[in-house]
Amino acid sequence: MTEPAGFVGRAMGSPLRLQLGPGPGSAPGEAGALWAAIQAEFDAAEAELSCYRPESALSRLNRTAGRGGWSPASPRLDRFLATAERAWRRSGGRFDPRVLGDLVRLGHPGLDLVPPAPARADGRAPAGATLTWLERDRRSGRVSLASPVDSGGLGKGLALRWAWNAIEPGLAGRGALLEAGGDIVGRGPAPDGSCWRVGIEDPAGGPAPLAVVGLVRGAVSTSSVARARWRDEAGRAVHHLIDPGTGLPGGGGLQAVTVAGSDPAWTEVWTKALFLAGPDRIGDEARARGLAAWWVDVDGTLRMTPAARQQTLWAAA
Amino acid sequence: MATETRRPLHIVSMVGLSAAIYAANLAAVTAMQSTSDAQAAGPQAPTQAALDLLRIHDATIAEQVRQATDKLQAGAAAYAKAGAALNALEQKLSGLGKSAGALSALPAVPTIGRTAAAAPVVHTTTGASGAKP
Repeated sequence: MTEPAGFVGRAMGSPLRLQLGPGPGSAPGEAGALWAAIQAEFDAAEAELSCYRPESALSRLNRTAGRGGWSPASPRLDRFLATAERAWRRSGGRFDPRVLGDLVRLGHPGLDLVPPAPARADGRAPAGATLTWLERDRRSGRVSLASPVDSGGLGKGLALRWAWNAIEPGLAGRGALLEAGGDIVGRGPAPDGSCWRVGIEDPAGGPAPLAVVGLVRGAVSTSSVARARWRDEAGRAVHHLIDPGTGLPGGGGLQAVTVAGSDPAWTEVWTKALFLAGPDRIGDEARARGLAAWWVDVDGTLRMTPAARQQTLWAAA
Repeated sequence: MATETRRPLHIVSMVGLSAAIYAANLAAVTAMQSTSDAQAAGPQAPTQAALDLLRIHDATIAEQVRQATDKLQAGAAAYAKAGAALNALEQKLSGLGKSAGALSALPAVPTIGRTAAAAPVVHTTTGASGAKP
């Protein structure tokens, strides 16, 4: 019988952690090999998708955006772009990776590799918002971008997916939990033999979680404005969840949104899309899509959908 | 001495003329009657069409009634079968109720939220990523 094991590292600007539950006997060093495979996947994803690295494949592609030319795209970059465009379509445009220029204009720390997008004082959507912004030529493996795109949380979610796919065949009967900066993917059993218990952090900074979610198999992601906040040139407090319709921070009235599902890339997509729906519409939209979603209002109240309630083991009084 | 045969040509002419007049009158009367029939039948044409349509609808409804009857019979059969299953289930529940009644204390059932004072120990947390402001 293999003992529980754990590994800690850092990737894509976030803590990276693997926990392994007990399982049937395995060869010595197997857990280390799993961890090495995870790190290799994250290193490759960061090298290709980082918006903070000028030499990344995405940064190079972003520099060609809007010129009408075609550029080669690696399988990872192509998969990221295809997923981002699908998320943009499925969310009705609420998830939009083209907000990179808006983040630059608002002075997001570390993002200055593309020109800032002009401010939209009238609050209207940018021209061509309903047209596609990505063209892919699968035969030649080349793509054409109409505007620069942000890999953001989706890049991290995809890295989690790829890393999980790389290690899952080697897990045999063991449970495992892989997390990267608030995004989680895993399967039971946990070291104590139960399902994994995931606490939803209090965005106000309280030490206790607001709720505890049971994770048997799948993914959990959170988008929150608790940390990624800064002040723009005018001294206004801004955050990284940009409403593509206005080019400004959106989701006023919400502090955090958590979504559970089967895939970490898509749970990440829906946290952002639901956050930008705002407090008045998030419940209806999450229920209409059948999502297990938890959200925290500005007053600290935790709310959840019926699907989320089924996965909630405990909630704060 | 040859006898001259007298032919009643005027009688023959009269008979022919009478027949011709009679035929002309008959033709005129027939034509008038045909016109009258056509005028009478004209307004009745839509009524006839409606009657034909009604006959078609009648046949359709009769077919639907027949199908509904078949379904009703099938439903009644399924209901009868379900009734038997329900009776069996009811008997099992009755037995389970007796067993539950015999227990002096029921095992604890995990509760969700708001009744537990402290959060259970978690394996990890999900929240904001990035550095604290």
